[in-house]
Amino acid sequence: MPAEWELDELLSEQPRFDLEAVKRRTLARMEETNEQPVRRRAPLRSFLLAAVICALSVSAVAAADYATNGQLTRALGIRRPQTEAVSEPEPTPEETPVEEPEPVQLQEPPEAVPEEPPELDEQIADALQIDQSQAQRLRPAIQAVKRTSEDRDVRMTVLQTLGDPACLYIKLRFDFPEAMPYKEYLEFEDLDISFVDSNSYSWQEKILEQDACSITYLLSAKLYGEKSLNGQAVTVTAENYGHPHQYTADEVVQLAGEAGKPYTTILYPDGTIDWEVTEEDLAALPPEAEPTIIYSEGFTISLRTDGSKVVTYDGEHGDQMLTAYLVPDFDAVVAGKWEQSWTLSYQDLSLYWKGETELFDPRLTLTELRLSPLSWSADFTATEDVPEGETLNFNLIPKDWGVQLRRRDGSLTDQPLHWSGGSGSSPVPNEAGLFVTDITVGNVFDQPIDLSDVTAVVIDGQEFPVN
Amino acid sequence: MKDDLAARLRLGDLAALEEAMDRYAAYAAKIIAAYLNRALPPEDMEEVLSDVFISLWNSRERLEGEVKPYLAAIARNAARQKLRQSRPSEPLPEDRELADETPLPEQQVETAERADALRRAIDAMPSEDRTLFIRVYYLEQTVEEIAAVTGQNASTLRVRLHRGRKKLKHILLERGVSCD
Repeated sequence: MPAEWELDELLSEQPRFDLEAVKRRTLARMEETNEQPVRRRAPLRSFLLAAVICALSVSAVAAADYATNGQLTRALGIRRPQTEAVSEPEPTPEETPVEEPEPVQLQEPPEAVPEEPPELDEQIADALQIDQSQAQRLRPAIQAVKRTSEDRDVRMTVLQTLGDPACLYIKLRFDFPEAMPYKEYLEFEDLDISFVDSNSYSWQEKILEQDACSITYLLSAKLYGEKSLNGQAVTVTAENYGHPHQYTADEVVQLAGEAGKPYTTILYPDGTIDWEVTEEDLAALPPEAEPTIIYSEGFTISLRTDGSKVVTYDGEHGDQMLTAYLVPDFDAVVAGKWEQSWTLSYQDLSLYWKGETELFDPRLTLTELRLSPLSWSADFTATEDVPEGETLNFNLIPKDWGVQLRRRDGSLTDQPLHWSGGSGSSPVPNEAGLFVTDITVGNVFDQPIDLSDVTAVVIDGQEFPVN
Repeated sequence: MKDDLAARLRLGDLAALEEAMDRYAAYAAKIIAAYLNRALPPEDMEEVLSDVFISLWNSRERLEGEVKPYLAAIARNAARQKLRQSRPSEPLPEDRELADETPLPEQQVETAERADALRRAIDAMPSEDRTLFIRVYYLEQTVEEIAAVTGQNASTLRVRLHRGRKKLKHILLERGVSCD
């Protein structure tokens, strides 16, 4: 279920109602109808587990479904299973397998370490609203990459990065050999950043420029609670340039089943659907029938000799309808893969405070504060005495901090440090039997800040000198 | 002291229902408003909340575990029904019962661990993706519903969801969350 603050992110204003009116109305309706408890089968909405399933493999689907006694997959309900295909779709009998050439990585010769850091790319500066003076101060945090990868005559170029220990911007450009159709709807099916030595991070992309023959992205990554990005190997990967598939009615099928049995539906060539598939129907399937399309994990589609299709969602489910999409959800205009790896190398412009100070709650100790022009992070240790292993840890930290920056002239400037993400270790008991969790929270600034004369950070009335 | 609100509801204690309203009416209202992506007039919100707590009362015998997640599911379905009422011509999911089932107690430990890992992973996502995932996986809105209430393009939402699931999978697997 969503947390309150997650819901607040979705709300432009708080809902208004009179609680006493709700109580009066509820009790009055109950008295009027004298409703008895209604025993009705209802679908389970284990949406959190459904989200996990969306992200995991076929075996994960089966295991998680078993763990929830079939309730999980019922929760997949009317939408297509949000699972990623682990295996590539098998070619239809009409297709001839084509040997795919390996994508070419065009490596630039190793560059000598420049004596002067490069200038900040203008598009990056515009996107992050960085003025000239700030751009000059940020130069040590810039790395000129200039690496290319080519596939299907499409060239990917990693141009430049701007970063700090926990935040990284990458300018990435794709050049196409000829004008792409439907340019306003085209994008990459997959566009990824990955780090060899880090396992807790998020990333997003922004299109800086796009025309018929090229598209330029600004990728941004945020690391949580890990060692510094600087010095790590990073890989950028892109696959398949195209657009989402627009489904037609004959490409979508509803499955219906019986509790405890696999969903199975027969689609006849004339468009009719048989939802009440019996064991005899399945047994009558010609032995030469083979799966023709495997789109979503757990689905099998077989062709009968009469041209009808048998669509089966493997595994045990309840008696709810399930929607199956018979073709992939993305149409590739250029099907290819582009990948480039390099080692991050730039200067850390962060200011630091390190120590041990109780902050926000007696159970919470601040151990490190890092403030860079691009982002900030704070490391905490939560020490709690809670029954049955319950821990509050993240909930001890306010979501909105009132923070001020102390300048050299003694003045204070407000700087909201709303944190948007973090990571934590599993709580472990110490010698005193208290549960200890290491937590890192932080955020990337929408616009880089000026730290040129910051001497301290003031949080919750406490001053933390940084250098 | 362990919370016995669920137990008291199952026993038919009306005072427990009133206590549930005191505790969770605001939370349920936020779910409803977030789902619909608009502020309901107070009277309309009071009507929907009344539906929610009546459904809670009517299904109290199925209630196991905590009240809040159970109520969240009811609120979500109530919002969906409200959305259907306002958009009768648009294809929306079939009618669902307001009350949901919760996992059996013996499954809740594993479920809680997964849920905690999933929450942290979603919290680690960029804000745009995170709000989309909150709508899809916590509020169980379809892409069409999200497009209808936010005005965003459904195709764009699908691509973001497609990429977001891969990001989420990566975050979860890297953190050791696996169902193998």
